Amino acid sequence: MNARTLTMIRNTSFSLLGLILLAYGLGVLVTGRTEPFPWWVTAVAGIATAVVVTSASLLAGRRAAAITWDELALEEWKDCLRLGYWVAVWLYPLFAVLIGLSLVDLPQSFAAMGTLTASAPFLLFLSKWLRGRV
Amino acid sequence: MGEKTGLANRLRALRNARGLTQAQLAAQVGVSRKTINTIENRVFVPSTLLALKLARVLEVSVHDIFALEEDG
Repeated sequence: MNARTLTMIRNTSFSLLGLILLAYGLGVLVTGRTEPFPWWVTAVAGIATAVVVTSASLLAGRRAAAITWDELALEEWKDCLRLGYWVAVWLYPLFAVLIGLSLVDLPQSFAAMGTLTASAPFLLFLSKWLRGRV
Repeated sequence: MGEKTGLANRLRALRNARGLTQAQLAAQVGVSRKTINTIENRVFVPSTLLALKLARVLEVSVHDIFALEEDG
């Protein structure tokens, strides 16, 4: 397996995880249920992403992994984490307003904020992938 | 990231002078082709370590590749 294939596996895995987490968070808000689909799907998706990316990196070897996670990729991932942090911070006032307006209750907020916060860095990574940056 | 960096470079010209593609240079340095591309387009500023590796592969000094924009 070369670095290009490994990059594709990483980008696809991260993107799928971000989309699953986003679907759960939005599902909570749209359906009003704290469990729009089984909660363990998000947990399995997270663990599967870690297993797939780690296994692929081990199979590809140290050199391919180093190229896949070269300094540009690491910088872009750190950028995603930085922006993801601010997404998490701004979710608090947003949901405070939503709760204040009785549009969501606390259990729904907990479920939605948790998954939306987790999805943010991966979705930002997806946006960078679509723009040809990673 | 995404804006111009203020660091001018002659990487594309030096690479072309040696008949290397971005992918070939990337392979020799040990980074992705996108990294070479973003450096050439002045979107990404490489680390000192990567700059030295590029200089070694291209057989020039770092100053031959990079310069501050007001100098370049």
